[in-house]
Formats: sequence, structure tokens, C-alpha cells
Amino acid sequence: MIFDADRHVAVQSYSEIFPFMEHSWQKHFERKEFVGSIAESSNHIRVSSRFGAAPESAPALAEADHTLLVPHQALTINGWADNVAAAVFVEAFNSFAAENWVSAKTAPAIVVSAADPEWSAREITRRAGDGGFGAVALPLGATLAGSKYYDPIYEAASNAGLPIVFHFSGVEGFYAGAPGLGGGVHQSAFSRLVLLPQLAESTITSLAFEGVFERFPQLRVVFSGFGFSWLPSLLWRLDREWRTFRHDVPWVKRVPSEYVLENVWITTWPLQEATMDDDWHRLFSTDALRSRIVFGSHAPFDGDAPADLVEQLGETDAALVLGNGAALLPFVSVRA
Amino acid sequence: MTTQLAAPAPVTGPETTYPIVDCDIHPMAPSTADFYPYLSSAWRQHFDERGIRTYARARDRYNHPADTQRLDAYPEDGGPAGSDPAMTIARHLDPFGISVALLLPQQPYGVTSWGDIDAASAFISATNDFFVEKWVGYDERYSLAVTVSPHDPAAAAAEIRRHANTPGVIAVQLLLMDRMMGDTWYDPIYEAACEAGLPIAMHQSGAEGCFTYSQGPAVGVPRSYGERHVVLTQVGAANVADMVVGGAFERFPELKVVMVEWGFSWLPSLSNRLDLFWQRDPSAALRIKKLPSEYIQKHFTFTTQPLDEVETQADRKALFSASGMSDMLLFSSDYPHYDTDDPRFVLQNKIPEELRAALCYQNAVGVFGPEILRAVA
Repeated sequence: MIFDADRHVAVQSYSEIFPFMEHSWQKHFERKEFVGSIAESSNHIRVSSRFGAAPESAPALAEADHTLLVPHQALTINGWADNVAAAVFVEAFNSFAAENWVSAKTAPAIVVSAADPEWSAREITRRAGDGGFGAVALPLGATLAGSKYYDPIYEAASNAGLPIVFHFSGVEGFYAGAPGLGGGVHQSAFSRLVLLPQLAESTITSLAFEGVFERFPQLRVVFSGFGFSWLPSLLWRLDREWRTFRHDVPWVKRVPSEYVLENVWITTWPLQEATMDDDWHRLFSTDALRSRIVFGSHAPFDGDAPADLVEQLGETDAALVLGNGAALLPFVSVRA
Repeated sequence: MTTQLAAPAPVTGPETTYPIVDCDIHPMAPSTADFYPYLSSAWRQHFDERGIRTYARARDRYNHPADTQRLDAYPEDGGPAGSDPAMTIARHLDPFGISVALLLPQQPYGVTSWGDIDAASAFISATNDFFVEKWVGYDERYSLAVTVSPHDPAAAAAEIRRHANTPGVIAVQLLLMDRMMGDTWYDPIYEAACEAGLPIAMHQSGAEGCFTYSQGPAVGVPRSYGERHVVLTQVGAANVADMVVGGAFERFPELKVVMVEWGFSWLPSLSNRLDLFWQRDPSAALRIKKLPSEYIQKHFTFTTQPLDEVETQADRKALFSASGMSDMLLFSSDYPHYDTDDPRFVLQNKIPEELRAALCYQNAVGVFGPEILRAVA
């Protein structure tokens, strides 16, 4: 079985989602600049400073049994100033996804908004009830993910049996109000691209130190597009700081790495960064760690293919990683 | 606060015969008034009227649940932990056989939040003079990183030149605000440091994640001290990347940078990522002229404390076996802080035997020059 947990889908024009919103909101979004900005959203995903590329979708791999589709254009609401419009926009996007991207082998993520957890919870419950969706994509908010602020989202996702997907939208560290990257003022898109994994590291740390997995033991979380070779280092530090400060965070009842190794998954792209210098074999020496890594092609953006996994990990580990998504996406289902 | 605990049991010395260079020890002046003799009367009046903020971390925001200092480092007669050079020798240098202590003063860290850039420069100069006289002059095992302010690179460069030939000054402690280390803003400082043959040492100031103009971890505001401490390493990592991407080492091919207390186990992942994306699109970072990992291995060293507490032999091997790592690590204890790494325990039990000489002193000689071993017979 092959699970691809990170495949990207896009609309060609924002006007495609207009039929799924009220007329007055259609008029709101029907602005020359907004409709024309779609190339920017498709480019953010590459964290490029070069705008103008066409929006891109990747057809599901023929050999993939289940594919989670990430509508990256909808994720960019974490750079929006108007959070009311953002909810309308992603709700329409989800309706479009339900009609166009659900198939026997593909399930889109329900996109929600960090700016409105209550609305997001209702959206999760409603879409999950309709079926066909495979996860909940929560664009990163400036409030760290461990905050109780997000509990309605985690509760709804847990009840629906859907994992939360965190994937950068590309505006992080770039747009005012969007989550920043580590350090200070970043001078280039290349720097932002290199430092994106820090978004995942901070988010995992917050989830662990705020006890989210004590509150929601069934919650499954996947970090997508951030690479994964940083995981062992993060876990060592998480556990060390918990040992030092556990009396300050009594709600974290177990050593943090245990929660991560049970509730968190990470997609493979870019696989090569984790196999250079023999890092895969040096760092991912336990089954517990290897079980966390799920294949995510990240196509069409500089993606990896199953053959790349075989070549870089070897047959056995590649088969493991290609199949690890079974634990993450068991609820991917076909809508009648 | 005066707390007396028993001194550590004396040990006969490490099993090795290597000199030990401890690259992260924090000295303190007993009080800010001790800096006054090194200030002009005008600045003394200025500080008398306004006070001196020496603390960079916002303590009403990230307050340590216990004490950031070891209780056994508070002098009997009062004063902050680490404020007695004799006591640091008796409690730390002598018992563990430490030959050289790189002193990184912390009282200047507060200037990162000062509004008056000239006051910051004047205060920092006074602290440098104090530590040269009272610590470096006290024992030749003490070697100082002179501190420079990020507010005014020209003044910082002048301060470096002022101490370029001061015996016992072996590095420049660069404080940061929001501009990252690859920014050309710092070029006058790097130029002066290269001219003086001094490496840049960069240690967290405590301001990280506290103020609008300070650097911080990714995403948002961590809730607690411990959580912040997990992700604090990101600031160090980001600055390593920024110097490479920003072309600092193309502009200053002799520049060396010692990253103190930022950890190092994140480095292979970052280094690979830099190499991978640059190879895929060199046009995305035009100031990079060769493989990013080559700059890192040539120009950076990383101190060991706080050493990751790996639990298996496989993980211990993984921690130290990345390409080039053995040449980039410097032993450090972070005495007298609460999370001091015990030198004997770390060097004898945690550092692989084949790396011990490199981490004890060889890599330090490579960065600071053979003169750092001036106290070694």
C-alpha cells in the first residue's frame, strides 16, 4: 500500500469557487487584484520571490492507493488581514473540493482558519459528516498550536477521526501578522525556505509543552513539507527541558517524546536532506522514529516519487515509509 | 541572596592529561557600581539618575521557576553568583582542571533593550575594562570576550580595536537586535574583528522572544520558560544560515564565529538543507559561492553545553558523527548557571574518547590561536 500524504491541488482561477459563496461575497472577492493574485498564492508554496507562475495541481500517482490532497491556495489565509473574508473563502474552497477533488483514491483536506476556532470546528464537523475528506488543514496562526484557543478545532478533528495537517502556506516570516521564522529580519526567500522547519519545531514543542495530547489523546497531527531530519534533535531537547522544568508544566505527564512518537507524523519531502551524510541510518535508528515518517510527494513542487524513496532508503525502509500513512489516513474513504 | 552549599568534592583531575578550555563561563561584577570607575563622570551621573538595566530577558514574561544560577556559586559575602573570581577558580577551574576559561560577561546583555545607543557603548566599554582588570588581571586562566553593542557598529568596531592587543582578550562577544548576523550592518564589526584576529562569539542575551526588536523562535510566543528554552536554539540556527546566505564569509574570508550555548545537534539537518536547496537552485542565493556546508565547517564552531541527553549508544554516535562535527565542537560548561554541564561527567562519559582532545583544547586552539593556552605550563 502506498499513501501519499502531501499532494497539492489548485484552482486555475479564484472565480472557480465563487459559485460556492453568497452573491454579496462573490462581489467582494470579484476584484481584479484579488482574482489576479492567484499566481502569488501558488508561488508562496515555493517560498519564492519570483511571482507569475501558473497555479499547479499534481494528479495523484497511479501507484498510490490513498492520496491526501492539500489545497495550498486556501492555506494562504494565514497572511490575510480580513479574517472574516478568510472563513468565507476557505468554506467555499472546501465546497469546491468536495465536488471536484474527492475520488476513490483521493481525499482533500478540509481547510480551516486559525483566526476562528469556533467556526473551524463547525466546518470540520459538517464536512466530516459529508464524507470524502481525509484531514483538517490548519494554516499556522501566530498563536502557537498548543494554546487552548485551538481546542474546539482539536476536539472536532478528534471526534471526526481526522488528522490535523500543518503545512506552511509560504507567507510565514514574510507577511505581517503571519507566523514568523526563527531569528530576526530575513533577507531572502532562500533563507525562509531553509528555515521553514522551525515552524514545525515550534509547533511540536508547543503541542507537547501545553499538554494537547493529554487533552486529546486521539488527536493525530501531521507536519507536511517541513522535512524531518530535525526530529531526533528536537526530541532530545524536548525531553531534556521537560526533565528540568517538569514541575513547571505538571500537565505534561509523560516525557514529551512519547506523545510525539504516538500522535505526530511527518512527511518525507524533501527526502534527500534526510539521507545526505547517511543521516537516515545514523539518526532514524529505531522503529518508533521510523514509524513517524510518511511518504509525502509534495508534487508538483519539487517533489519526491516512490522511486526516490527506494533509491535513497533502500527497499525495506522505503516500503515502510510508503505504507506508514495507513496509521495516519485510515479514514480516507470514498463518498458514495 | 547568600546561599552556602558545600564545595564540590575535590577531584584529582580528569583522567586525561589534556588542557581543558571551557568556552562558556559567566563572570559578574558584584554590582553595577563596580563599573563606575571605568566611566566618565558625565556617564556616572547619567546612570545614577536613570539606573542601569543589565538584564535582557523580560523576567515578568519568562521567569525561571527556580533560579538561573547555581546556589553554590553565590559568594558568602553577598553579590550575584559568579561575581567572585577566586570562588570560580576554587569551585570550578581547580576541581575540574580547567586551563582556560572563556569569560562571557552577561551584565552588558541588557543594553540590547536600551534606547540610548551612546549610553550603551559607554556602559559596555566600562564592563570590558572592569573584566580585563578584575578577572583577566586576576588569573591568567581567565580569557575575555570583549562585548560590543549592536546599536552602533562603528562604535563597536572602535571598541574592538581598543582591545585588539589587550592580553587575555581572545574574542568579541557580539550582541544582537533584530538584524541577523549576515546583515551588512555588522560588517564594520567583522572587519575590526578580522583585523584584530579575534573570533566573534555569539551567546543568547536573554532578549530573544521578549521584545519587538529582538530575535525569537519561529511562529509565536512560547508560554513557559522551559518551552522557550526548547526552541531558543532556532535563533542560533537562523543566524548560522543567515551568515552563509548573506555572504558574510565571502566578504570576510578570515572571519570565525563561535556559537555559544545554541546546541549543535540541529546543525546536520540545517547544513544538509542549505546544501540541498542551493544545489537545486544556486540562483536563489547569489551571495553563496560554494557549498554552504563548506562555509559552516570552515568558519563556525559550536559549544557543547547544554549537551543533548541522548540515551542510547546509537544516538550518542549520531550526535557526534556527522561530517565535520568533530572539528566544530568546543567544550563548555556554562558555569555558574543552573544547567551547568559537569565537566568531568561530560568529558569522561559523554564525549566519545576519540573526540576528547579535539573538544578539550585542539579545536579551541584552532579558533582562538595557540596563545589561549598561555596559562598552560
